[in-house]
Amino acid sequence: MRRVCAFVLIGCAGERPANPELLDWLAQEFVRKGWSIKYMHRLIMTSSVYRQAPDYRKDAAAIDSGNRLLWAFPRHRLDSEVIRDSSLAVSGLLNLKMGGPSVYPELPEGMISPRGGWKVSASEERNRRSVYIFVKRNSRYPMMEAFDMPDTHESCPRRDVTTTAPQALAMLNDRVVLDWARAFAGRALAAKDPVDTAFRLAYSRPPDGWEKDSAATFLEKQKRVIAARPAGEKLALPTTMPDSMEPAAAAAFVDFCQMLLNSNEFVYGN
Amino acid sequence: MSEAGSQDASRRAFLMRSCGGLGALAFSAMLQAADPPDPLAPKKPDHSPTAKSVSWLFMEGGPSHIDIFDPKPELERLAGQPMPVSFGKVITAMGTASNTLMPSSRKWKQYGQSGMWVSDWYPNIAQHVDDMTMFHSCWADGLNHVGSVCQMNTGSILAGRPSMGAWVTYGLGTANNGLPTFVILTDAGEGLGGAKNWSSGFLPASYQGTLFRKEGAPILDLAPPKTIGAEQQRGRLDLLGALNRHYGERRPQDMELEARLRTYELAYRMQASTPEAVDLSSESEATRRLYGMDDEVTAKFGANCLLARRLVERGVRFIELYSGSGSGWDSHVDIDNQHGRRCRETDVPIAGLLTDLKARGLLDSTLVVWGGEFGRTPFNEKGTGRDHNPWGFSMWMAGGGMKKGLIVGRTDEIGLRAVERPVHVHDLHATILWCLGLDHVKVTYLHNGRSERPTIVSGEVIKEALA
Repeated sequence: MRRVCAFVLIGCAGERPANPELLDWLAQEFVRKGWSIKYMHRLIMTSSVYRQAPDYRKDAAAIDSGNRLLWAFPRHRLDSEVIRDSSLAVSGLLNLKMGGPSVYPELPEGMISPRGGWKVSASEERNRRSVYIFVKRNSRYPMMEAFDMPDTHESCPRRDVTTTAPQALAMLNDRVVLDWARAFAGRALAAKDPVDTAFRLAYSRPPDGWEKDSAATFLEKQKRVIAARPAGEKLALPTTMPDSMEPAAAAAFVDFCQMLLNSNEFVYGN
Repeated sequence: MSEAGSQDASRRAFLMRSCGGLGALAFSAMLQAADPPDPLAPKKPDHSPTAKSVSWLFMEGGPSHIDIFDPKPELERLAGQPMPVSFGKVITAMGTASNTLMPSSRKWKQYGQSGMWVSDWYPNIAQHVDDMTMFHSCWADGLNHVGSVCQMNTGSILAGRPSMGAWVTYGLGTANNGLPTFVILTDAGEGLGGAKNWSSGFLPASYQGTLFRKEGAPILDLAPPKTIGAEQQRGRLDLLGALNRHYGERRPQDMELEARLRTYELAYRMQASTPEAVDLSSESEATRRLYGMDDEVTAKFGANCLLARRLVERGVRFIELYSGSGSGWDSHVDIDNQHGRRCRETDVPIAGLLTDLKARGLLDSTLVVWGGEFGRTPFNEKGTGRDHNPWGFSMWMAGGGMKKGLIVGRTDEIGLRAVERPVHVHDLHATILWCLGLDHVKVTYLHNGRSERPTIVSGEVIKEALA
């Protein structure tokens, strides 16, 4: 992101700042306030620029298509840890216990344990916040790695943000994500209006008309697809579900919940 | 979000200096144009390449040059004596430098028009010497495996730099649709140092190599759990696409959202294309025999070599094949048996790969590289083995724009040090990148305020080896 000051890129080796006067003022203010980083964070984060909505504005885009002058809050994808923690929170699985030794969540199916072993933690423990995941120097936790966790050998001034197929594979196919979706589905199905609840849990808003219709159409169609699978094939069912619910309908609802976790609205912070 | 780091530093500096504000403006425009964030989009090379892909045969643990490619008759004469002081002092990994010199037990012959020497450990590879450029004067910085394997991959004995395959992926993007660009194949355990050897280092994570699993789906999470049916998966993706497009309508012209949609379709295609690429059952019986897949000893490495050819055909740019992954070539004792085994495992498969690539007209565009992280010492260890030798060792390259039947450099009379035309790891890297169309001083990435390049601060293309 290239903003007022493109971190590490400013100066003779990088780009000129978009707003040098502002940068000068910020630098002086930093000194005036006794070099308080805390103060600077508060100053920047409570500014009207920082608190802007990310909404697209045709008039502004016509003048500054790259948003160099910050006419909208820049879109940002959640960090890998935040994607995982948010998914666990939405699924009702997040264990907020603080402190103690690191934890070892499940590795993708078929992955050889990193050197030194990887003894998977008990289910409660493995659902702790991602900051507690044990970091092996020579191999990053695969899902974190897919979503741009930096190399562990070198210092890193800023994370990259890439958009790649391995990210899609992890969110779409990893059994851990499916388990989140199963718990998420169980949680939503316990409510009076499961689709509405799922949207509120994942997006903090109710679905609009189009989304309600699309969800209903999908659930109906997907139920038929699943019901047509050969008898005896196991289904991915919600962790808990109403007794009266058809298994195919319940499995379709898990799919719906997992796709909410995969969606752009979920993995982008705004 | 591609960054200024992906731009040529000198071009940037020139624009800044020469036109002041205007240059900066133009530069900003270039950055904006670079914003659509497909990190693997194909990029133009710096010059016309002679190789489309690299197959790097990595003999992990340190193959003994003086028992395979670099005969030293002087060792016969000095057998059992300590190393003459004229060769200078060295400090070795196991402290063996004052041990007595040990001649090779191998029988040697000259092969081809070029008359290159090859020992009886590699009779089949020997048939291909006239397609090779042999580097007899390689040298490296590390004394021990972890650092040295790391340097052969990344240029530095310290962890944290991008692997050559990652630089190539960064510099050129992908040349296929549904396969990784940089693939690692192992034949035994995890290589020493593991994933740091194919790491993207400070480059974005999307440039790192992909280790193919030996059983089941080659890539982790390639297919959904069995509880999700094929048609069900398609339905899930269609819902996701609809949700994302609906969200995108409120954010027109957001390239990143578009790109994310595309990656899901790519992931879906990979589910089909990757198993097809690794399926060797469609290869003829004759081809499988050519790679030694009919023999228990050669079957494993042979299968990897055949897989490498299939990946080359499908546009994978950089393939590393580890032989003896987990330091299997590290023969501190009983080198005759240990090396003998490794050579038998690799001789037929590598010869098969060269033969097959040539027959299919692929050798001209595929750079095949053979070598370890270092060679081995002329003095013995424990009477029957040899210690690590980074001061002088042999590597060869074939195809992909290399001269045919050329020998570069020479070690001293006992094979301890490179004494003529020394070739450092950085020079090898610069040359490999050059064949792929990349100039090692122009492929840069801004990291911690410095434009980093694959060869750090040194290294030259070995021009005399280029056809």
